Amino acid sequence: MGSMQNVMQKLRAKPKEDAGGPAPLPHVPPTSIETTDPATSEAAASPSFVVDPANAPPAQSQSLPDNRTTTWNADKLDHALVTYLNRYSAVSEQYRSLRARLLNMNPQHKQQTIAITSSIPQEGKSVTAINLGMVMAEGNEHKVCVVDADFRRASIARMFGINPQPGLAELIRGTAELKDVLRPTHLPNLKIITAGSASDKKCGELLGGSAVRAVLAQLRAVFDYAILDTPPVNTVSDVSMIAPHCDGVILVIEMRRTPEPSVLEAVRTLQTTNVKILGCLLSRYDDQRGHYYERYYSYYYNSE
Amino acid sequence: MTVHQERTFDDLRNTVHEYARIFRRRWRLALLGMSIISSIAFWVSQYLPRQYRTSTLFERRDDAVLRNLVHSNSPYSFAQLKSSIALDMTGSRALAEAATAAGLLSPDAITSKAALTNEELRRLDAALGRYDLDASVRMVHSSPSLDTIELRCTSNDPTIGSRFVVALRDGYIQRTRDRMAEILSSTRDFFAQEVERFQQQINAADRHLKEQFAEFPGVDPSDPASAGMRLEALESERLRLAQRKAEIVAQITARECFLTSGPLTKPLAPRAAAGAADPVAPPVLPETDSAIEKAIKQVEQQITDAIVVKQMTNEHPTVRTLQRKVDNLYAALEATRRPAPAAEAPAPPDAAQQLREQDPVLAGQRLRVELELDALRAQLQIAAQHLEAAETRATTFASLYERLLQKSDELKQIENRLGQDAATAAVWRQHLAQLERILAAESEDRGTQFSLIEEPKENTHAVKPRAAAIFVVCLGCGLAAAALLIGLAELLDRSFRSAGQVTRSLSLPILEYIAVINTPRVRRRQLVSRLLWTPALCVLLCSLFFTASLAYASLERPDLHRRAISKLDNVLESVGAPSTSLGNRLEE
Repeated sequence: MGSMQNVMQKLRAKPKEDAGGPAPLPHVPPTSIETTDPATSEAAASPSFVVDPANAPPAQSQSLPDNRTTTWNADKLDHALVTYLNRYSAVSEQYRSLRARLLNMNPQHKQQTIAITSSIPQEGKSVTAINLGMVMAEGNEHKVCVVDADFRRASIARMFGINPQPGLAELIRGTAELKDVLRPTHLPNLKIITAGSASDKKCGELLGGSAVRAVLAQLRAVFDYAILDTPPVNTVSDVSMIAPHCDGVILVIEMRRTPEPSVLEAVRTLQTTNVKILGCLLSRYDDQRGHYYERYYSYYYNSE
Repeated sequence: MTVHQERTFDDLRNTVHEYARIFRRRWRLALLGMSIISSIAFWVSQYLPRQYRTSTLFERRDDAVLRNLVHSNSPYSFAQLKSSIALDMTGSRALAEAATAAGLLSPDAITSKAALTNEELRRLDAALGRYDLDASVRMVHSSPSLDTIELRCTSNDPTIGSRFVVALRDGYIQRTRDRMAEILSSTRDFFAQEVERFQQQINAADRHLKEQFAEFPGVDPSDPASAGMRLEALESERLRLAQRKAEIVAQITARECFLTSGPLTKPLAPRAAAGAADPVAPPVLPETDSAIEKAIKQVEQQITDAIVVKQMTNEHPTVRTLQRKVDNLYAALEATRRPAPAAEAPAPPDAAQQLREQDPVLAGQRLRVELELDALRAQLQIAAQHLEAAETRATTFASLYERLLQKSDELKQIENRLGQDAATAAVWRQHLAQLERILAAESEDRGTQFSLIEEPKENTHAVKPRAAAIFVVCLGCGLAAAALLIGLAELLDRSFRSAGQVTRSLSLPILEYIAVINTPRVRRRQLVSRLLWTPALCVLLCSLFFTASLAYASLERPDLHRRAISKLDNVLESVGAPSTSLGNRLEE
């Protein structure tokens, strides 16, 4: 609840010109990625999206290697990063609702590593992982890391338009340190670990080794939450190797696309590997509920 | 509202919501299916055979006298004529004649004069079926003297229908006139036969009665009472004659006694001496008494018969008459048995004879008495003859009367039948006279009148199929196809389409519903989808509107439809496409 209150405070603190419509994209410099020091980036960054690390709440775990932040070139970002590009949209609020649900389900803070998977490709795993990570990091309350564990189709680097190397593959192999693979975001408490470089044939070797457990333990020690973007369950067996080491799995189901037998098969596969399925996330849910939600949401904030 | 009702309402609401959700998701598919199927149905509906109705209106005025002439239950009555009008106008014979007159059948196709043969019926059905002809009769207004008749005919060709309905109407009028003449002439013959038959019956009964009259001469056989009175008169006459005879006998007896016992007395006969010994004894007239007693017995027997056999009461005139007759007979019998006045004691014979011989007065008196006695004897003889004749007449008439009584019922029946036959024959004669007048009126065209109210017109407005029915059926087919497509799509779609389905299938909690993120890719996909769907649906809707308009015009505006099809064929011909076959069909 505290996180939610912080989010609400941030939202109420938005500029006056945002009151009449959806929030405009923040002003970004022309470079695609600009790593800035917190002390120097304050003036250049948008006041809404660049959080001052000095105002960040004390971390419960180990301190982050750095508090660097960065700003994104909105033209090069994937438009699916809706929690960044359009914070006041109904979809963003739906991700916040998901965050609240997860926090309520996890009062003891036991589920730190959450894998996002699906039964077939292209169901919205990466989008969900990134947007969930962004809303989890909102309010500077939790340190969150979004990890791209899909070596075969590394989506997160592509969505942010950044170089995928070094990443998780190098971290598992031991050729890179954690601090080297952590990528800054616009939030100081949100880091990204890209997939790195790994051939398809060596994915199994990477995920099947004990190094994965060590990496996950390291992430648990550093971050409050680590959100892993994993491959689909029915396509490759990577999830069966990495998900058992996670604290829970969220199964993304794309409505009106994913066949029911595939989802059932995925659930059976996860259950046979002793994976705790936290629940389902229905993506591309086109019921009227979203429209009503968006209308009431817009009305609520316009009336503030 | 109870819990059960709330649940029922919730179930209903959920069901409706579910169907609405499915429709919202697949409305394009529904519109696609509906447009295609409805367009096809509208196009096909133009090939459906059309029914055009043609009608004519005419009235028939019946002659008032002729209408009341025949009883309503008679096969010759006009009520029967009215009730059989449908058969007269739309029967096989009428249809065959009309089809021949309208040129639908060759004149030698129907040759039989009576009922049509199976082959002729088949030809007729083929000719009528070619144009889908169907005739019907409707009595618009009906009164005892005026019928307004509407003759309708439906066909797939308004011109043929018009010709056919005219032929039917004219044929009906002609047949009705012929039938009227036939009925009237046959009725006249029938009436004449009836009159003749009744006249023969009357003549036979009359002859029979005359024979009965000859059998009972001088008596009206139909009036037994007068015959009874006449019998009574005969009996009275016989009694009077018997009484007269008895009186004459008494006078003769008295004179004989006077001659034998008085101064004029001759020596008394032994009978006179005996009479002197019993002066109060009645005169001995055994034949008179027996006749009276016999008459009394006969009359009493008649009274007994009248009371016992004929069930007459004592107050019946016949019984009373017979009773009076019995009383009179008893009185007569009493009179004959009354003792004669006591005679003077006879003088001694010698003294009397001496006195007679000595006194000429006495001799003259004796002579006078003897003359009187002779005269009385002559009277007695005549009276006896009259009495015998009277008894013969009475006996004969009594037997005649007996026979008359026995035949009286039969004669009465004959008389009644005769009266009835005469009355019936009079009625038939009256009808015959009316019929003759009506025949004369019919022959002069003053009888049943036909007048035309409305001529048939070529109606190009189809009555079947109706535009509303076509639209309902075609749109219904489209809706059914849409529903079928939606159902098939839902059936074959194995993806998750609702949160409830996910919950039921996986038994996992649903953490959140994430709506479609409006990325450029999604927008591009939506744009492509719209670029594909919108023209397609527009084309389909246009085709639906075009085919619906054509279907409507083909029913309600045939001229416009003909022009539109012609233009469409021209367009198709200009682009090298095969033309529609509707143009050829319209030409046909």
